[in-house]
Amino acid sequence: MSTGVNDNELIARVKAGDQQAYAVIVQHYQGYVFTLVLRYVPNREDAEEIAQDVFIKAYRSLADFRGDARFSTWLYTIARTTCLSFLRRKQQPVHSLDQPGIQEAASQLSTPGVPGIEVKTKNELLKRSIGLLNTDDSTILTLYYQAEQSLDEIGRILGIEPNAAKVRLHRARTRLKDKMVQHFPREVKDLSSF
Amino acid sequence: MDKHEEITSRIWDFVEDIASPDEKAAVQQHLDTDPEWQRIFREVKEMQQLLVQEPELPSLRFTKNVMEEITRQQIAPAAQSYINKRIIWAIGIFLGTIISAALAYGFGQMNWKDNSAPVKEFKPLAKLDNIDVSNIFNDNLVNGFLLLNIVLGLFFLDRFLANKRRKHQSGGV
Repeated sequence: MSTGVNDNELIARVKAGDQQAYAVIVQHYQGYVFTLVLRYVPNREDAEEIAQDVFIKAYRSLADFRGDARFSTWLYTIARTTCLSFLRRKQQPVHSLDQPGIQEAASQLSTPGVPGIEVKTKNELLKRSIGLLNTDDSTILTLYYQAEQSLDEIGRILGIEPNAAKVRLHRARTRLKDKMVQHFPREVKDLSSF
Repeated sequence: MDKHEEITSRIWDFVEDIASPDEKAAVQQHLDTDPEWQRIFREVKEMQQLLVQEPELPSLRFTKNVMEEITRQQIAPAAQSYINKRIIWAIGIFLGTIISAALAYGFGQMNWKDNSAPVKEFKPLAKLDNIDVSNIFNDNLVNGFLLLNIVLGLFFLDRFLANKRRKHQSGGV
């Protein structure tokens, strides 16, 4: 995944003083960064502010981007650390898979079958099901399927081994399926008819 | 991992194209013959199609807001440009020398004769206890040296924490 024009070419242009080249980068990656930030901070206004902050931080640190990783991987690493800093400042807990009872708590908080809210599209089904997952699971699914990062790159972003990323990804998919079956059984049954 | 989960995991690796060629061939063989494997394969494919969706988009003003902010910013110099490796080496050598000197002095001051074991007497290679350092080290010099070390220690701690914070903020890839 890149901007079409080579990311490294665009970055070289930005480093040489062409600020407008950065607009192409922002335009291309805004959705991916915003979606990733939403996994940590579900409030859209906060998420948008953080996503903007990510691009500004990336711009300021552009001289440190050496090109030994993809630009997107570098950018998502900044996005993750910025989200974690934000949560630390706000003291919002990031729920880890390792915390006992976290899944049960999440299940109790979720609102299955809320009257009047119908899941009409696959996108909506995915969005709402991912919303029921914890941050670790939703982040890894977003990085792999939407941000198109490899397991190696996810390992780099999350600071874990690629094998651990693979295991986490598998667990996240399983939990997502469980949530879908648990909360949207009718939609899952009709999945192929969407 | 139960059998169903194991099959699912193997099929995921197969459809995501991250399985080895041998593993792919083995999975393909199951898929050609086993209805259970075929059923799970269909489920996995459905799930995969569901997962690959377009990302969510921020407001229309997003890029404009970022670019407006960028005009007030400057690209910071690369960390490599202001971290001089020679200085780090010099600091390392300096600290190494201090530690070695302190150890040598400490060992020289030790009484190697063990009264409870009269069999052998350990003889150090050099008779360090005979070295008279009182002419070189007086109270003022030692105090000054300690003060210098404390100042240097605080200075390097400050640099270390500042670098760590900068790395943390920039994502550190």
